[in-house]
Amino acid sequence: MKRLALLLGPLLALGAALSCGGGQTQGSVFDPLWANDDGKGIAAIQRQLAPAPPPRGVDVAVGVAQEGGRTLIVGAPLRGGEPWTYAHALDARPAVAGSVVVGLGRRELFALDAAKGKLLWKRSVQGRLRAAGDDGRTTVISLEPRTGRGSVILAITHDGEVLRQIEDDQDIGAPAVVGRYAFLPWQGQYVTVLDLLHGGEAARALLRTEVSHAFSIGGALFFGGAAVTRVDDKIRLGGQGRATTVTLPARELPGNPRWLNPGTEVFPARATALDKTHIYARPTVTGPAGLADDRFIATYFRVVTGFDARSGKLAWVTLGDADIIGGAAYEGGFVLCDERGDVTFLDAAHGAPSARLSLGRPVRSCVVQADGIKVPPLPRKEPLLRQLERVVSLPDAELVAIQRFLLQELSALPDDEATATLIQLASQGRGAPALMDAARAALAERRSGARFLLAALERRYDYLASVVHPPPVGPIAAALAAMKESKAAPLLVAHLLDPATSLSDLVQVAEALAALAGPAEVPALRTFFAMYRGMDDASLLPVLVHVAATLRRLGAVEILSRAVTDPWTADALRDRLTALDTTAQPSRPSPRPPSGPP
Amino acid sequence: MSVLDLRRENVGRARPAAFALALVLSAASLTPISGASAAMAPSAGKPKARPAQPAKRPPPLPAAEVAALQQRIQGRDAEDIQAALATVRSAGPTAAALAPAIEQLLRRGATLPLLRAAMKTLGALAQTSSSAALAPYVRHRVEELRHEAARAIVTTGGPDAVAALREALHAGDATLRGLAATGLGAMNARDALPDLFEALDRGVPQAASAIGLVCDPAACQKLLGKLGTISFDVMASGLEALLLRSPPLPEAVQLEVVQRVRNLATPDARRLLLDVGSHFPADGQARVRAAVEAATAAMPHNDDDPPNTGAGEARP
Repeated sequence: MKRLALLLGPLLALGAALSCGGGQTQGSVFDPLWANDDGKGIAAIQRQLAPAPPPRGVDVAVGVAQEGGRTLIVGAPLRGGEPWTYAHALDARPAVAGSVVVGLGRRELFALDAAKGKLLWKRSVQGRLRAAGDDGRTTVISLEPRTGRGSVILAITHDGEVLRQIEDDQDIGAPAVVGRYAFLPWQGQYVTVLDLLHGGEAARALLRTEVSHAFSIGGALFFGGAAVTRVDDKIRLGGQGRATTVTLPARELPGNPRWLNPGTEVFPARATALDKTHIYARPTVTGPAGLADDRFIATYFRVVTGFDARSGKLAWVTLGDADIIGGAAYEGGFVLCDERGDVTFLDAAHGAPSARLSLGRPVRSCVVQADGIKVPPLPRKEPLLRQLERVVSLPDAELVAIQRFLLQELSALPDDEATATLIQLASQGRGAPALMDAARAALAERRSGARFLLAALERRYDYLASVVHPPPVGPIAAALAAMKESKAAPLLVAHLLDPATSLSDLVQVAEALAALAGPAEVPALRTFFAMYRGMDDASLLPVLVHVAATLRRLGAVEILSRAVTDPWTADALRDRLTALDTTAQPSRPSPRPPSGPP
Repeated sequence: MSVLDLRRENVGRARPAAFALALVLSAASLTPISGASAAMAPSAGKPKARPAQPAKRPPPLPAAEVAALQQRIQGRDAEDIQAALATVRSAGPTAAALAPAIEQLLRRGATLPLLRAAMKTLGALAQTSSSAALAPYVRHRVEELRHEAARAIVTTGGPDAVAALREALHAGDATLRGLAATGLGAMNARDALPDLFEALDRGVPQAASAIGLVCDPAACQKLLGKLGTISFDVMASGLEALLLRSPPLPEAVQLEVVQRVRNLATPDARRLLLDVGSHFPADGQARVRAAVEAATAAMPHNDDDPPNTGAGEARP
């Protein structure tokens, strides 16, 4: 392990170069040969800090804008007030922590007052900004050195005095600071507690979940990565995986969004697609491990999905006006920042937009800190089905992945109206084209909403009435057959005889009629069989076989017997008829299945 | 007027009725059969510019020949069946006794070539009883069969034919919609007027001439009201039908048609009236003829426009 003194940095030109001095780090910081103390050290630190928890951070949305060739940092206090701006080049995305905004551009590291945008200090450095922590007095900053390997950690007071500098070849993630201690996550499993006063490692936490962040929320300190662990009286059990750790329910979400991005990465000043697919959640600050409001949300471009934190079940869906590129969770809701520079507050329970403010201009990236803010929720009467319908129906190719996901959610709803929505989505020219196959498959699986299915079957291609797309007859037929809905039979034979019915649908229609048709349908079935039995068309063969089986079931065997011997029957069909012995009168004709669900 | 007469006329500018009946002829293997027009008389007689001359109906085929043909039609040799059907088509309505056997072929089903030949033959026989057997095929999945069935059913006529063609107006097949509109006009299917107006509004051009052939004065006024909203090319066929119908529409209606066309004062409008004048029926209404002449004389025209030949060339 290499530990470099402050003044060695410039000489080796590997790490940050600072313009003035500070304390040199002592002790075995980041020593991989560290002897596990079973959490005694971190527990002691926790007990020491418990009486004076970290202060809440400033509630602010900070965007990066480009105006007239200049890069602007724009801050909008979430509690209201005019947005502030600060012009400075940026090599990476600024960090918001505690009461400061930290930025780095053109070798100049600077800190702004997060509430007002006022410059607190600036220093010359080399490297790129990863992340920062702040407790209202001291800011701890993690930099990626110019070499791209290892880390430079700076602890700087709001007055600009450098308290500590550490240069190490470990990648150190997003730090936190509380009083004299800096919390530095590294190697994905450790959080070193650095004593800023003496420069040594005061303690170390070992966690069994991936960790690259230390941060404070609501007066509590957390270590996080794949999961988030609260620094409370159970932190000593972190090494045994028994600390107060909250994990998100396992759900495959489109875009594979992450709750916490790797704290060791440097994020560009301009948001990427990864920023548009993100999870926001706020761990509870007291009590058992959990998420505030039992909610977490996932963004996918301009779609926001809210989930129950315990079950992972979808709770609501909200559609934004522009792609969401940043956000945060607060007690009672979520605040999200979009590319247009609009900042929207969503109620955690129902996803209702409860407030909105603006950064005043489009932004390239956005970082939001919401710690103590409270926003009164607004009611939302729109049921989940309609929320889903609205998003899934959007003709937006960029949203197909989330639409597929939401379509599955919609399909799982037992409501009759969900069936009606699926009919719309599966109808050509109505839903998003890329979703049609999925909607059709889901429709075929419906076991509720027969009245909507029957009503849809009433609709047929009608050029004069501008009905130029027939309903998704095939999946409707499959669903009604599964429901044993015999009222569908006359409607299905009409579609069977309609050339507007696609061949793929036709097979499902014939298959459904095999279950649903009664004596009243025999004439139409005979007509169909006669019209097509001489066609040597492989795609029609399964249809004809189903129709033949239905005719046989209904006792209309004469036409089948003749078809076997008649020279005009296509050979392939004759073979199938012979094999199926469809010409034999069934010993006991099957009655038509009863109407209604089984 | 015989079917043959109409075919001849159709060589030049398409007359609405001529076009309708040309389709019939197409269905009937283009064999001029006087009996076919007689069979159509109740439905397709109106569009004719001149009342049909009573045709001398040829005697039916001898029973022995009918029996022999029937046996061949019911046989298992496709080539022989095709040949027998061709023979029946040539015989036309004189072979009407064979219609049930051919209808049976459609009802039981066969190969596509046989089905097509059977439809053509039923069209040639022009028996109303055949419409029920033909009707399902107007909705066949194979386009050619749909069209063949539609052509045939125009000549077989009757309520089943009207119902099938009215439904075909709603189909996705543009050619079929055109055939249906033309056929409904040829069959004088007044019940189909609402559908034909819908079809006209939805861009089925053949509906204009069909409406012109079958409209009552009120419906004719409605058609006239579409001048300016539907392209003149489409409207012209309907207007022409309004002016050349026999028996003619009430004089006031026809005079209004002439006046409205005259008011357009376009070369196309003048050409239409010139065309009407040159085909005006000898027994047409004199004041209408005079109005057509006056209009064509008064309307501005270019040097390369056809001369005003007057209405002296009435149809023979």
